[in-house]
Amino acid sequence: MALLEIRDLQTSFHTRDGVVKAVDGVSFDVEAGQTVGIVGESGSGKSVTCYSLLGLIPKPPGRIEGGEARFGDLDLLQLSESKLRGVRGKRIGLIFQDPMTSLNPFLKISTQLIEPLLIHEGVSKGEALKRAIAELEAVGIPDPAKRIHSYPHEFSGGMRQRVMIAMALITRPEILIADEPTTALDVTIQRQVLDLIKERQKELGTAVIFITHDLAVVSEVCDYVNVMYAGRFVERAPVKTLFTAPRHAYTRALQRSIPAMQTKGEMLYTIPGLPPNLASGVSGCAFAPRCENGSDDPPHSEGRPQLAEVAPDHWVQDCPGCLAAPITAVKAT
Amino acid sequence: MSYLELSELTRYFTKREGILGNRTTTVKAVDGVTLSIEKGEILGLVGESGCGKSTLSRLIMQLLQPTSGSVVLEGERLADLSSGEIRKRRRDFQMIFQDPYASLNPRMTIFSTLAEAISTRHPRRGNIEEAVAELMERVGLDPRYSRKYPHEFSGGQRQRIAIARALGTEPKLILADEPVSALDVSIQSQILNLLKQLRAELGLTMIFISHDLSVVRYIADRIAVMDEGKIVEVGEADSLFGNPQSDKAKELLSAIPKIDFAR
Repeated sequence: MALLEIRDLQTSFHTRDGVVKAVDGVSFDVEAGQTVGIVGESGSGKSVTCYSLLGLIPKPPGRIEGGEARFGDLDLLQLSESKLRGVRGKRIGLIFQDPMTSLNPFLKISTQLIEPLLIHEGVSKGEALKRAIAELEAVGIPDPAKRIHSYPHEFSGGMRQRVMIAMALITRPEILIADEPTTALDVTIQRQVLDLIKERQKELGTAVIFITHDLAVVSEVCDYVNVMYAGRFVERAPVKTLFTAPRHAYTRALQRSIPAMQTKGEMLYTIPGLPPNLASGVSGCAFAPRCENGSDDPPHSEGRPQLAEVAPDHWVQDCPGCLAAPITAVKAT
Repeated sequence: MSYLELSELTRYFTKREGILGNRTTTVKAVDGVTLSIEKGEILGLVGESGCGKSTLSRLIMQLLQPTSGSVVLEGERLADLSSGEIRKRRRDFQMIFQDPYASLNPRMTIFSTLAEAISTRHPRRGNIEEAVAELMERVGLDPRYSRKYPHEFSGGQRQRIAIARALGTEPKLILADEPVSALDVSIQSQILNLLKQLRAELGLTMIFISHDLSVVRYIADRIAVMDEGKIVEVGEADSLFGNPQSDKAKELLSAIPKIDFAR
């Protein structure tokens, strides 16, 4: 049995424009120590998937319509808010994209860093402070005993993200959810933060759910990748398979649109059109209007395509249109 | 003589410290930058955060006065102009910012945003509707949406509006400060294609600032690498990418996440 088993998760938002099915039947497992990636464009439902697990969806307008999330003997979707509070920040840690807005600017790092220990482990302040300093040292903050008494604005963006990682891991969670943790950072800092997450994960055996839209980052950190489009997974595969033998038209299109993969001087490949408006409901294959294979030869699935296992552990939405061989060959790397 | 020449451009910031404010520390944000850009060229400017890229761009835009050195555009020293004259010249320099959500006025329709930009160059132009429609078509937006507000557009469309606004004043130089970093990959490509196409059609001169070397390699003719206020390497995009000389360029290149399964 996996550490976390999510089955048929459905989250929707009831808005004035209609019901937006932001997450529409998503299932995946997270094994202990594994890094699972969720990739997709903005608005595809990546973050909503993870926030649903932690009860962080604003209700209303949000509503979890169904599914279950087995975490040990708990179903995270059924837990009361008070029980959930014992899981969130204790057994499941969370880091966000923007380290500036996720730290409280009025409180010293020390106050914020020992808070999870005081709440979840009931240790004394002195003890908590000692552990917090050790944790800061582990994430590579120089002179931690002194720096812990600084305010967030006294740290650079990369250092703040290190503090966030220290804060998320200080309670030794079994799972760390990282929501675009490096998107706001520049390349060299991104490299350091990715290496740090990998290093801490190895030391602590934490499983990581990594949310990002950057395929290159995914290829470096993840063991298993779920590609999300319009609230559903269109393809799921071990990372190597996903990049060497992608099957779904959307996965292939995403890979082709990375600027670094293209020859200078040529027009960059772009995916035509826009993601569907989820408020008006999607019938049939959600990617059909944007698929470069065309919409009728072979035809796209008329019902909503289901995931089918095409190779061991490699799942892809069973839509003939999207699975057809690409007209232009994808450049192999 | 090049189109735009920066010679020994320097900007220091001094900060008072201590209880009495009697100690000062000096930050050399831009420290002796010499660069030239030809008309119709795209120059990529890369470096880590804090290396002085933004200060340099503000110096070029005449938003900051240099401590020493000069900015010469088409043979004219910009520092010699009066402040009133500078303000008139500002339409010659346009910026495109990273965050299209924050850089458009939420209370102005697309029409009024673009009409304002056009009228700085042509104050008495009749038939402004036509000019706005033309501008919108040029950046790939449907002119029918001209009466909408920024929040009604997606991130990629908003960045197109920001580009249209920059083009509206018929600038001599465009400074694009991380114009695609906040966008999804597929949208990034659309905006890069648009900038490239506009360069071909209008002969734009542009400085493209980014920390993402792979994007810069694609769009720029030459790349300048900046570190601690200095330009440490300048070269043709492909040769710098393939054979970096300075340590900083090597470091930036090695930090790019790569998709590599040939291992």
